[in-house]
Amino acid sequence: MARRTLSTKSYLAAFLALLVLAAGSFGLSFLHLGAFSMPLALGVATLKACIVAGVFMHLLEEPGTRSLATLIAVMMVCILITLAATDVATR
Amino acid sequence: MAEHVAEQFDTAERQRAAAKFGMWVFLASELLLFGGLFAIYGAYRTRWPEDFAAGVRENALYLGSLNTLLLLTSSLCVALGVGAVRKGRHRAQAVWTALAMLLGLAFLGFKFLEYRDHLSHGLIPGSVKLAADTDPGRAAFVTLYYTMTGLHALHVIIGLGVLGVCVFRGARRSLSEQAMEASGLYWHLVDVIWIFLWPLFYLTYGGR
Repeated sequence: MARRTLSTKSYLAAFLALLVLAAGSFGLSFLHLGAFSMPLALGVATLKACIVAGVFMHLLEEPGTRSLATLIAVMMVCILITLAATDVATR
Repeated sequence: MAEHVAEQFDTAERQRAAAKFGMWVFLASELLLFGGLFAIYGAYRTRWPEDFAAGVRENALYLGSLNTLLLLTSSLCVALGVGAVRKGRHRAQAVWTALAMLLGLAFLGFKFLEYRDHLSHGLIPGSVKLAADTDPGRAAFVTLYYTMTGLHALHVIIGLGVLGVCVFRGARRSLSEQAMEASGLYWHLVDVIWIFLWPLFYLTYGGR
């Protein structure tokens, strides 16, 4: 069966991207960004998680159904967090 | 190595696909376990934003960030280990995985130092003193900090055990690609969880 296989080079490229993003997130934490600091930090974290899932966890090699199952779990968690936070915020 | 195909599968390929899908479903359930805690964090942080920011400010930014670096690097090592076993290079797999374990152990070591420091400052989870002396927001932060990083550390410890088996079986050339990939997936999940714990407990203190 032919399948796309990620190379050592792609692992290293992913690691490099992760380092750059982590350094960026670390640097951003020193700035006074007010309400933007949390969404920015979580945005960078999400990007990093996508890189880990796509390359290190080989989701890019897999059929789409695998990503779909994962995506649904992530969506459910996001809904849970958003609803819990909005409930408290709008009391 | 000829792969044993169980009765219910037509081909070895199908068996592998089922095994991997099962692993992903397990990871999704792990995500929901942590998801509940993330939801509590979201709710409490919305309720007590200043207390949480102050709590994050007091955490060891540099140690926490060093730990992020350690876990990211260990994930790379595990990915390289999977790559090696796919090429049939068992020795290389064992070396990469052992390296990942060392980084994981270092992570736990630094986490231990952090916990020791918190405890010496009287931040003892669930203690009557903590509940009496601090604002409810601060107490909530401390409790969540211990629960979330503690549960994560427990996963690191389990992950180290899983990787240990991979090193052992890799050195004896009896590790299947499938087993290494499943173990790798678990380790990467632990890494992904930390990727989110890092900003929530070390980075979002509102600037210096």
